[in-house]
Amino acid sequence: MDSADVSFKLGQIHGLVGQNGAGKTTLARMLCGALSPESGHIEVEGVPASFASPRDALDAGVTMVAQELSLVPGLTVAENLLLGQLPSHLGLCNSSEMMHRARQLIDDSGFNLDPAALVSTLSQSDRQKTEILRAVARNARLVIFDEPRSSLSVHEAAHVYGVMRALAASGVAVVLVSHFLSEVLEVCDVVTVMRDGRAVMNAPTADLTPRHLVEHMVGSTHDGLQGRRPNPPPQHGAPRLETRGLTGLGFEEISLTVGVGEIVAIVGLVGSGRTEFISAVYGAHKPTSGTILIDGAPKRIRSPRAAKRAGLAYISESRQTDGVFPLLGADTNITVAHMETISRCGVLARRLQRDRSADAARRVDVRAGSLSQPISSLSGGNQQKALLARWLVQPPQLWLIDEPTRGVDVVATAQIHGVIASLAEAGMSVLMVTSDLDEALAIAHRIYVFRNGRVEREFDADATDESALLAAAFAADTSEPRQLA
Amino acid sequence: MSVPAVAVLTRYLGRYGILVAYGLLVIAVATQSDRFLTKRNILNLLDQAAPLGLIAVGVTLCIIAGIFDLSTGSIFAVAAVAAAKMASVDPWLGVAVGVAVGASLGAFNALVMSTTGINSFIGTLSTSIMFRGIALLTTSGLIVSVADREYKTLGTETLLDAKLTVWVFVAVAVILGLTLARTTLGRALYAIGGNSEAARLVGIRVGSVQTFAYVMSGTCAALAGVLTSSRTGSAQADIGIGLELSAITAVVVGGTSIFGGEGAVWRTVVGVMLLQTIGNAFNLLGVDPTYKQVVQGVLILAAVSIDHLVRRRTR
Repeated sequence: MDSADVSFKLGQIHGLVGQNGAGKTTLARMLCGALSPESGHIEVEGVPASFASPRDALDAGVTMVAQELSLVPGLTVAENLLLGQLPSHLGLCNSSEMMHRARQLIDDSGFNLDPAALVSTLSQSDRQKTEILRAVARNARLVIFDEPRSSLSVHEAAHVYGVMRALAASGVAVVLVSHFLSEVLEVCDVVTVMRDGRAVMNAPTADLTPRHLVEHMVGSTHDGLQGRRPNPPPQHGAPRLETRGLTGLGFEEISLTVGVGEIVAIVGLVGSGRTEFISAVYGAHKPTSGTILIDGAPKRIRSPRAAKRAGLAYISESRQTDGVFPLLGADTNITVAHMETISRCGVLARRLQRDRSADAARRVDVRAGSLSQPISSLSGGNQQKALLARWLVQPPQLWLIDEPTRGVDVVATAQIHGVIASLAEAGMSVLMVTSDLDEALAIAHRIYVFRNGRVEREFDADATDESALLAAAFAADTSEPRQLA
Repeated sequence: MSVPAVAVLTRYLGRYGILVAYGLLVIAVATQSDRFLTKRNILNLLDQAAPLGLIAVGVTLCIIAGIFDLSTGSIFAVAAVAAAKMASVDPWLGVAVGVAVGASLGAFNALVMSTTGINSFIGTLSTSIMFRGIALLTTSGLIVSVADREYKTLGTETLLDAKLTVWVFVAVAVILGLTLARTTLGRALYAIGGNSEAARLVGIRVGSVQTFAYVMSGTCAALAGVLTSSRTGSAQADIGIGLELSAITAVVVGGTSIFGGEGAVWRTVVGVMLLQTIGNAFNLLGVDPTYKQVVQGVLILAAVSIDHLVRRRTR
């Protein structure tokens, strides 16, 4: 986050919107003490405040209903609601008083919750309601809702918005971070648009439309991402990859194609089903229906192993959790997917490992003092390049890359883009997921926009721009104001 | 000394910290007892270390692959009982059945974990109780004694002055050590222990490789059980209780990470020898046995701390 001047007024609902990575969540986390600002300060009712921990923020009356919920699953709803302020006498919990207060909170909100239920038995949306009521129970003066809508139905969301209005009416300042632009405009009094870590617009919602918001979200700063993409080759014959009506957890009826020598990007908001879709194509989890065709032939891909055999490579978005083997050397990490190329009859040949890993590392410029040092001692950019090198040991026909340049510096990003372009030049196909629209526009030939688990639109990268992509991702053109309670 | 030389030295020390600790222990004991570094004592020490060593080497594969195998003590007993019973038919049949039983119980462990998806710690804890029960059932709680002379000589037979048990331990340690360090299978074990999801995503057969680890662990425990029953000429259901924990202790004392993905068979061998040497020193020095466990605990802690300190320095 760069710098943001925003003020939140008591008794108002304040919307905070922006692209993925615009700094909304970072700002929210600073406000509630989970992160410390590098410079600048926070004032509460005119008094400068510094929050060293969430506890400090809580004491100052700031609390957040987070995206990742922070409830204790083994305790009841009532205990969770009043955690840290349980009514007690001489250290003994007064459970009848606790239940009474919890029931009162629940009744006031209009939610349908059982205070005696264990949180671990609740549905995701009931947990979310519990989390919201906990913020209310803490008598907060500023409550931040971070994407409260993501796990709720329209009807439940209406309840949440009702609670927000009630909070504001009782003199609390409410902040709503959300991707649902029309709902933000409906519920909020004021809205702030963030872009590249800055607050770029601050206005009452009265005469705004979703389209206005999107216009402000689009950055004018293209940081020198030059399109290095090769010309798309003429397509004849079957596409390299085709999915027909692929449906699975988080995505529905996805039909798309990736041609030979083509780079295709999938963009969309976090939670739009991009990652779920691309990992299902690789067989990491099973789609429930639909077909995958490779070079025109239907393929049943039941496991990553089968996907690899069918000529697919996959680099996941989370390098640390399911990409690298942190304890093993960079050379081992690079050769681990193709151990058959560095062994004879199952016995590893060190010289082959050294040569193959050095060769692949050179092609993507992995910088390491020695390739035998643990990969965890390399920078994020070099680790990411090593993951590309892993599949270059024996290049497949189709690359599935989720966030090719997340957490990677500018120089390494340019190098990775160069590598992806060279793959396409060599006739390989690339399907990538990215949150960086500039990246998609710079290196992809075609772009699919996902929204709510479906393909919203398909664009030719030469014939579109950032604001058109964003409008599709937010559905800002089509959405009508919802009926909210 | 120049700076790079120091860096190289500390890196070496970091990697071989446990050897340093073991060396210090050997020197300390040797200065206190003349009998310690005699051929007879060393052979005796190795002989005593072999059964635990066999189990620990098998368990090393599991721990590196991120698996706990708490059933090795029970498999030890089941295999010993099975072998002792069969030995009355034919001594070699006894050995074969004992080892096969161990391998099968290992495979059973793998099957249970892969079908239920439960954590190996609690899973093998449960199967270990089952296995112990099977040993009790087959013996009706009685001692199975072996009359066959040939079977009894297996464990006591010597080659180049060392007992056969020691040679089996050495052979298994070398084979599994090379498997871990030099084969694609060994590499897959490290990969799974280091990051099992990443291993799955690069196409490693996680289930099959883990099955291999369980089966090897069961087989090694069975070998130890068979050799032990041969040496004593008998077997009963309650032998080897707690061996599974001693084995894991030896593995971890040697410096193999309890979290998986890191370690080596040679480390386990050093760990086993360290534990046995401590016990041996007590006997030689005639320490009051009532102090034994306290001092043993302190020494294990000291050895592991030295290893940990040197390693952290070099990280």
